[in-house]
Amino acid sequence: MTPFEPERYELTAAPSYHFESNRRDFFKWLGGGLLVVLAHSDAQESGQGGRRRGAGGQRQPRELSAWLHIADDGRITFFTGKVEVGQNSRTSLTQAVAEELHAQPASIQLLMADTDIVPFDMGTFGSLTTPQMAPLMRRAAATAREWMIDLAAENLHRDRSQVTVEDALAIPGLLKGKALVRTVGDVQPSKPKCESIAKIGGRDFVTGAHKYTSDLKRPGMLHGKVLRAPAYNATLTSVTGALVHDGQFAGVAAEHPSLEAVKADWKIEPHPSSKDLPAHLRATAKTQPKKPLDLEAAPHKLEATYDIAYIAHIPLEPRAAVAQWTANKLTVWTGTQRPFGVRTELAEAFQIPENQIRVIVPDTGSGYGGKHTGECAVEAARLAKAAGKPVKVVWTRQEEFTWAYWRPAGIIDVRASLSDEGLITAWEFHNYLSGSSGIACPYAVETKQIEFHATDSPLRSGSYRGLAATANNFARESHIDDLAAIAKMDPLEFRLKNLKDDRMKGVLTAAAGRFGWDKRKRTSGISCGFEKNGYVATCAEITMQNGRVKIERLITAFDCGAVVNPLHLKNQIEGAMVQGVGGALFEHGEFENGKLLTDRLSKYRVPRFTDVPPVMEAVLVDRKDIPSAGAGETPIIGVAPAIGNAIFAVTGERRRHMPLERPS
Amino acid sequence: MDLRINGKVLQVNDAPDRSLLSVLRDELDLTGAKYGCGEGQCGACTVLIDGVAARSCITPVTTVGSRAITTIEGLEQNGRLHPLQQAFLDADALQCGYCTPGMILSGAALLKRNPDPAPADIVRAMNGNVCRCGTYPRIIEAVRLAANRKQQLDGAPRQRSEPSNNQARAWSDSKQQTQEQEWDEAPASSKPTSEPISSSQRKDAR
Repeated sequence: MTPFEPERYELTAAPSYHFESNRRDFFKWLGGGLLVVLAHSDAQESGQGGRRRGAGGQRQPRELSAWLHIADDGRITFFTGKVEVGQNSRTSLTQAVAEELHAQPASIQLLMADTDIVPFDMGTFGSLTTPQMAPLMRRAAATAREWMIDLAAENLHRDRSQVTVEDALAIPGLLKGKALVRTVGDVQPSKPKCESIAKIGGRDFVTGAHKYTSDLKRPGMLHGKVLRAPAYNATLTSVTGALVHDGQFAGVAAEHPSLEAVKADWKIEPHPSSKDLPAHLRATAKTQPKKPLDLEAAPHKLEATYDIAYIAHIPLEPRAAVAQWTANKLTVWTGTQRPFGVRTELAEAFQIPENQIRVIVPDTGSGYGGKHTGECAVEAARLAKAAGKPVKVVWTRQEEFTWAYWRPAGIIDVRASLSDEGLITAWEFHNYLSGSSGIACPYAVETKQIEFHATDSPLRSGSYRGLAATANNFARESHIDDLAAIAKMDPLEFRLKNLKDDRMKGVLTAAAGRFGWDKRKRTSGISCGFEKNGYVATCAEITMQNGRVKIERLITAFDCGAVVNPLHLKNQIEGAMVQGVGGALFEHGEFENGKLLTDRLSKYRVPRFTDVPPVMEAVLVDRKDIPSAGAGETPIIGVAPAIGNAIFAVTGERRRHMPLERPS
Repeated sequence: MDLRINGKVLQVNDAPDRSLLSVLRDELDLTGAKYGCGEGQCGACTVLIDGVAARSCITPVTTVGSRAITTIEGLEQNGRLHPLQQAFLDADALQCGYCTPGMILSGAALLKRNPDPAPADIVRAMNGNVCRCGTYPRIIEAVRLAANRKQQLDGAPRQRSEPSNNQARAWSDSKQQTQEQEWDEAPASSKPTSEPISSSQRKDAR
């Protein structure tokens, strides 16, 4: 087979490739064996590249990064810059490699998110692990597999068609102590087997043995505390008693650190309050809507504004970092979704080259898009540098609420028109602040005008599970529901009539079928949506008592292409539904005069056991013919509109604010 | 001062202003109990004190006295998982796992005073524990699974059917080995109690 014709490099021979630093000296570290590497240009094609700051269009030496190693004794190790934050990427990526190598998952070790060891990666976000990283892993593993078969055929003096990779892995000393390198071949990865396997390393989590960043200890380590501003828009003007004072940063480090002795003066500027948010967002919009669509001639039209609150991620493990300086190196352990991004932040903060910084991310106590940044890593490193000892900083819950970033609030204006036949004829949609994810209108409408308008954000805001797709789907699917009512049509029938995309129709039909939509109670709502190559439809049945919503049933059908691990996929969908209930019904951040009013769990309600619908189900639409998309985010987007539409079905009242139970 | 933890007596520094959580984590390196909120709202710091679930983040270490503390590290016996630990694995009742030690200890305390809790009992007893990943339905299933296995071991008539959720396949693989396990008590659990968790934990805390 020519594609797998041996292309072997003994590492002792000078390769035509440039290993970025001696950290790439894998064989010294791993012993001999077989190493599958990826050239930088391939990495870029696969979306994993993109670092190389300062390349400036110059031709860079092709760089290699190691992806998969098979040791002489058959141990398989593979490397990725992705992180494990509970989405079970460690398991799904191991499955990908195990399937290609026909090996047991337990025989494979996955080394994740250590910037000195693993290939560069942009970060774990955007539901990209499954669609981008898994195929790359599969290609690396398939390359190794075919190569092992070559070697085994040679060793056994048999035609390679008569040799399997299992044979190869079973031959002791097949690699004869050699150190062999090959680049990832142009092989077609195989399709996922769709198999439920248990969480890899699960035992360490149920015994408490797993060490999260916040659990780590280094010899001589101190604990750090950072001085925080008394309000938003406050500037530090003077400070005494701190170990470090540098610009706006002041902090202490000790065995039991206290900020009591730190005296600071602040200059506080006015800050908008959350009750004035809609006006503030409109007043600070950086772009204005283009000429509005002319809906005058339409027989039916509907204009409305939707109001979206800030909500918090609240990863149960708050931001944490342990930093340690040695002669030439800064090492930081931290829970982040972007280990290489944090390395860059550290390089910029301390003006040192990135190759003198190592960032290691232990499997982390969740993120939901909330841990893209490295502020805690920088703080720990700053204090450790001054203390001359390793320092651990763990944010308190109040710090996490107040100084981490939020899922942005937003204002969404929607205008639409309808023909007498029940077809949507025009769609105008303006999102202020909350973002453009999921902003497209999946319905077959001839005239569309869809715009995102950036504004000032009084609270620091950033990524979140599904990001703006939740807000945009809420506004769109609420509006669609109203249009169905205007057309005097069943909400499901109205959607199916105005949709052309078969996959969207497929999830609607699947959710409605499982829910029993045709014989539903009058207290039911439905919604659908598309985001990050996943299609989702959700049905909700509620009851209302004294104006409070109780969700009785919640069914979500999800099509993310070929299913990798049904057990973990269902777990993700269920988790997204539960988290979605919080944002839909009650989660919201409030602030006034520069102070966050909802700065702790006793003041900010999150979903608990009592909020879980008695009946909750994830329906998998397994499209084996379609490449797998990521699944951690999209199932969250249908929850709020399905519940809002159920409230409308019960009361005839349209709630155009999220959360739906936000006190006014 | 001495603390009785996981069947051992351990000496710790006198620290009137420190929480039990801080002493467990920073002094004794028992990091299975987690910091989540610092105000007893999330349950990540849950430990058992004389078999009752308590929030160690709001429990001053000086108030524990000679009562027996069980942390998640003390549940496993001779390399064998506590049945609820096994049930959490079998029901895939975790994602990031940060809430898991607290959930398991709260569940173990519940099973001790009510060996056959209905889902509504589980919801009521464990509502003080937050799983931000939203695995609550699976946690309920895990507690039921552990309860059912206990009933089977005891030969008692099954009062409730095996959980009917979608994890049946994953469970069936591990059921064989688990049935051979004994129903271990946490070593520190001595006094069964029928008090609801919330009130007892508050008493411990203040």
